[in-house]
Amino acid sequence: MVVDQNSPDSQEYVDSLERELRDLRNLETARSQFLAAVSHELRTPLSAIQTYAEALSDEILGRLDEDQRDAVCSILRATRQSLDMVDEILAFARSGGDSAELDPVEFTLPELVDEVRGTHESLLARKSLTFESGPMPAIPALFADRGKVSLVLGNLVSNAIDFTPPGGRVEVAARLVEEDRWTRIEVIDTGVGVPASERDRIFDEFVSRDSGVDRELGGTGLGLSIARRVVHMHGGEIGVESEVGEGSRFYFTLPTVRNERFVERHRETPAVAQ
Amino acid sequence: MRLLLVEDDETLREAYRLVLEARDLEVVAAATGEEALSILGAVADGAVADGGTDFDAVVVDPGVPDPSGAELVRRLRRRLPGAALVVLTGRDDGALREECLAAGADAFHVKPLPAARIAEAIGAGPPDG
Repeated sequence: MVVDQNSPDSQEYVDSLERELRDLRNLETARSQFLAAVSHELRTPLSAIQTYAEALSDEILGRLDEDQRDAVCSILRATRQSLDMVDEILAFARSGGDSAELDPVEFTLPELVDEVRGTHESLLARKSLTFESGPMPAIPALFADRGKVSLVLGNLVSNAIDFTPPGGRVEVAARLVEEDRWTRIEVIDTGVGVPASERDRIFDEFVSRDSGVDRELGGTGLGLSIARRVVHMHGGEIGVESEVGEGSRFYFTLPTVRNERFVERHRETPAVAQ
Repeated sequence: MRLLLVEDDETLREAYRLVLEARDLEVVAAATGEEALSILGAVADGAVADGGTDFDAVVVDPGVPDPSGAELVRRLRRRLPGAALVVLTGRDDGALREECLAAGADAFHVKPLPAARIAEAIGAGPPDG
């Protein structure tokens, strides 16, 4: 469309577009603030439940018998599920499909893996699962939306824990692909595996895995669909290699700081996450 | 190690106190930004404390009542230049994260955070195995 800048009609049109753009930005700001407030209101009581449950589990308030220990373990697991749902629902609300924006910063993968391990420590211990993360010394820093990637990795680790019997292993590994422009991150478990009939569907919205160690597992069915959306927003790939009874290897790729094409497109001013 | 805990939710504040004192931390708690700054005593705004402090670390929810947010972080940092300062918030907000880190926080975490991770973040020892 060609706009004659000297025409009063076109100036009015431009003015109305600017007003609409301002309104949309204000709406987006209000939405973002609302979601942050909802996050706070949901996380605060859940944090209190989890902290007291950990105090009970660590026997700070006295020794527990076996039944009490099982009960506390159930509280911790249910709390973790609730928190995961809060993450998923808020991420889904924020993602807004193609209109969602990325806020990439530089950060190191080992630091993120350590953070995710920490938030799942209690569950790993309760199921006697080993958590391993391979050495990643040669991996350059990632350049990605740290918050969204944390959600992806957290979701995959949560799933691995849920679908792995006690005594098993969850591992996070990484290697470079396409020279050093992309990092392929893998979450590997010794769990029940994903049947071939489910492998394509599990990344769809509102689809939950049917098989599992614990049949009472609930969930929004959004986690993996959000993970796929986030990874695709970064231009990466996500998938799963698995055999029933032999465990699963979920993988996804993210750009590194040496991915010049991605960095140039997204970097305005350098921002380093701590 | 002496820790200043700034958290306005009473239930959560007492839960954190319980698990952190079990890790041999001395915990002094405040429910508002004003209370926290009052505990730290009168240091003129704009003046950096001389580095002498009887708090080794601060864990602060920037959502507490006035002062709050990055402004609270800034004022806490001014009064405790040498302390570990960790933000622990229920708001999963990238903008808040950047503001708090720029205001002098050493780390920004979204709740919940296990006691072992809080201790690690403030340098109170390695996490549990």
